[in-house]
Amino acid sequence: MKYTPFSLFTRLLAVSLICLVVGPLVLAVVRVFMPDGQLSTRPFVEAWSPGVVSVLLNTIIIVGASTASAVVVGVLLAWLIERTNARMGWIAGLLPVLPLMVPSLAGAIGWVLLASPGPGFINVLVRAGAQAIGIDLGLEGPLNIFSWSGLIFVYSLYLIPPVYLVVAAGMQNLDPSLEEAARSNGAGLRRTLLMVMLPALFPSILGGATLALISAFAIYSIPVLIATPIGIEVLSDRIVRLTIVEFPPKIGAAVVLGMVMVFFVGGAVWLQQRVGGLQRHATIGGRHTNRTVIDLGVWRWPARGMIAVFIVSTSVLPFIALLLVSMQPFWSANVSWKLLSFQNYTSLFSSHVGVRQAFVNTLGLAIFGATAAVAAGAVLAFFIQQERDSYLARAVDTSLKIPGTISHIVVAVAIIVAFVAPPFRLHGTYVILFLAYLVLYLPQASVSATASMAQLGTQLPEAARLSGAGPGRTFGKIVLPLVSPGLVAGWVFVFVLITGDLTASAMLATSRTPVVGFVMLDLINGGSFTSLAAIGALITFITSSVVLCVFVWNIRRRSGMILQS
Amino acid sequence: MKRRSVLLAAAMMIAGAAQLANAQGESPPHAALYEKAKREGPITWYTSLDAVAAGDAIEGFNKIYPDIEVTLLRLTSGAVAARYAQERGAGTVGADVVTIANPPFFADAVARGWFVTNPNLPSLPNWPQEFYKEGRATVVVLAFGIAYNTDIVAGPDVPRTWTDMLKPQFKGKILFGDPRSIPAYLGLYKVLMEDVDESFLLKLKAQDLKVVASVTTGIDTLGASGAALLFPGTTQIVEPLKAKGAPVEFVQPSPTTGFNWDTMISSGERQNAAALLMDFLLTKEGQFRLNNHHSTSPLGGVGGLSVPLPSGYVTIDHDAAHALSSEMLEQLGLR
Repeated sequence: MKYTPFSLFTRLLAVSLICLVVGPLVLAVVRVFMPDGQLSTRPFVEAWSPGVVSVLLNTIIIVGASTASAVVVGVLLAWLIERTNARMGWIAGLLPVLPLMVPSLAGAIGWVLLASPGPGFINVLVRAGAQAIGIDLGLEGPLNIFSWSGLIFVYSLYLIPPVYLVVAAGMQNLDPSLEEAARSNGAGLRRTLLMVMLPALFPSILGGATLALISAFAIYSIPVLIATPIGIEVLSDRIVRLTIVEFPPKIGAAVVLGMVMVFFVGGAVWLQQRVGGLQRHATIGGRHTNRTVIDLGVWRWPARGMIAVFIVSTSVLPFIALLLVSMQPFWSANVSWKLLSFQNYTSLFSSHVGVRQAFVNTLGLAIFGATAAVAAGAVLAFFIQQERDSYLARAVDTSLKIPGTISHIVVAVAIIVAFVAPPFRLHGTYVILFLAYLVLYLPQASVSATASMAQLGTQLPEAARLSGAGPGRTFGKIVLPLVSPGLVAGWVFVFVLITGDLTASAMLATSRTPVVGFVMLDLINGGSFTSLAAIGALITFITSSVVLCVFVWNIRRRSGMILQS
Repeated sequence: MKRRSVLLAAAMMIAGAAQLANAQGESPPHAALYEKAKREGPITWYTSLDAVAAGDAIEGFNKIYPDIEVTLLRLTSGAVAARYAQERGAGTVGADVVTIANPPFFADAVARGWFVTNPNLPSLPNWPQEFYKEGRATVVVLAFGIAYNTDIVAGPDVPRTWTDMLKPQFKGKILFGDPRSIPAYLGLYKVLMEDVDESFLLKLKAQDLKVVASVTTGIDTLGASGAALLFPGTTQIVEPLKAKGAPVEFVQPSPTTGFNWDTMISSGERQNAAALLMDFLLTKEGQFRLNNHHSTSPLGGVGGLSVPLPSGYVTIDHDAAHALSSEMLEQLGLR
């Protein structure tokens, strides 16, 4: 068989990424379960420690509930913004990804400052308001972030973006003629939505749900701040504890618990692959289409209200809380405007070694890492779609999703095992950080690209092939422009994830190669909330600026809308 | 007149030259060790000490030894131990000097040959022997007590003894430092079990504790009136916040124990530079810089903001505490 240069490059890329992703994990498993060349059961014994059953149950409850919530809200928001007149100009396109602007760690800190039972700003305002009308609500509440509901709420906030991004990208490319046909035949809004649109979008919804599930298992920042104080331990927290807190470290037990995550997420990934392969859903047609906009009538304003509440609660409020506390001499619910200053920022950069360098390093690694991840994800998603039945395509598709099913800390340990020891000796280098971020966040880029490719379908690439275009030309001229909205969304997502990464950064960064996550973990363990708020506000400002720039660019590329009355 | 001016100028020149020669002739202490250290390159110091104190110590060290660059990594004691162990397992030596409050780690690490047990420390003869053992020197002591919020706790409610924390009004309002992150807390719990009340930990668990990974962050929550008490608290986390106007205060019940930050040198390539840093930490200047942040020096009064060792202070028997760790964590509901 004759291969074009693009085909060869794709195959080489596929093999390289399989080695990069699978190699360290295989090496870690071999060294953990066969330390002396013989099978050892010690990791399983260490993993089955007191409390592990409750850890598993806690994780299933939190991940399940938050993913389900995120899917419902994410799909609804995507529909309201992409298909109805609840959209509020260019702001509407930006709103649902506002949580991306606030990295999960910064957001978790923000919500602790907002909804702590006693000094939380929202609670203080509500109690003051109630007191003004003669109602005494006591000294705490009404909100309590340190509860099951508070925990699931914050988890959900950070799982909505991946669902929204993938589903919205799917809606943008969905042929509206299906909906038009349904409505022409008398189907109402609700019936059209439930019987036509949602089934057509099922691959995107499943892709978004899978991405959310992967993210939920890996989140460490939210449980360390919110779950630990109330005695709820989840898998990610236990794995971190086994690896970098307990002495001696129990790497084997951490790997065993990571394999539990693989079991759950692997099932979701398998389901997504099965659905994507059926092709019994709507795809992009061969002719240009204009999106239709549904007039909600009087429901437009409650819908806009819902969007506004989402904006305020997920992005604006946490950022304001971070900013306010970062300017206080100490965290206090009684804000004294005269005492506000930027002293904490100057102290942060003067007393914490390497903070400035950490920001520079993080941004550089985030830009290069996101670009590499999305580029590789797009090329490989095209390859997988075109050669779905080949062994290499299936192998790379599975390999790319594996890191997302394992806690980042386990992946980081595997990378240490593989790349720190001879012959690589990459400990304390930027290369090992780049490789770690690439491996960790390829799943998100891959799922985003795969969902975009699934929505694209195979008709257009086949038409290009029949017209004599090679795979490289088909990819560059036909596929890439059509899937670019989804890829841009994926790039932004990966950029924010790398910028706000905590666990891999804590494990692999050093004082000579500091990154923001490394500095923030240091502050969680030994700093003050004011310093933590300062760095949270700073990183939020940076990620917000990037997201804003990219989405303004993306919005300007979109086609016009037809208002359907 | 002219001759007198010339003589005066000559005298001044001679005096100046002598002073210059004298200055050039002054060399840092332990010059031979310093020369060897300079050839070894920069060193890394892993510590769980207060970041400001550690930074202060490095500044003082570099005033005497400007040619030795020191890179600081600050994490909790448990995290430093785990990180160091992983790096050793991967064949690298990430830290040349380690200063943490985790004696079981040092004991295990020495058995593995990771640290030097007979370092060349010129200041060692002047160091109190009860704070030194086989290459491990305690450089900072910090006694445990109780921190409380003065807006919430006042008058007769102010805790004076450990058992005061068990009062019903404090249920659900105690921030509790996680001993799984800070193993040194287990030493205090052993003292409480054996010298105060054998069921103390069970009664403490019944107070619906709010676990925090670090009391250094927890003190902010206390200052914001997010809790009534913080345990175990130390003067080092209370005093700076109090100085900023936060409503926090510290009490020192008895008996008590505390953090003993121990320092050791890694058996690696930069032992001379590492020894120089550790030696500096044992000098009066080094001790002042480390403990001028509301902690206690083994040398005794070093001035500044250092505090004396409280009466009733008991040195932790870490081996015994470690042996009881599973039982204590079980009683606290942290297993």
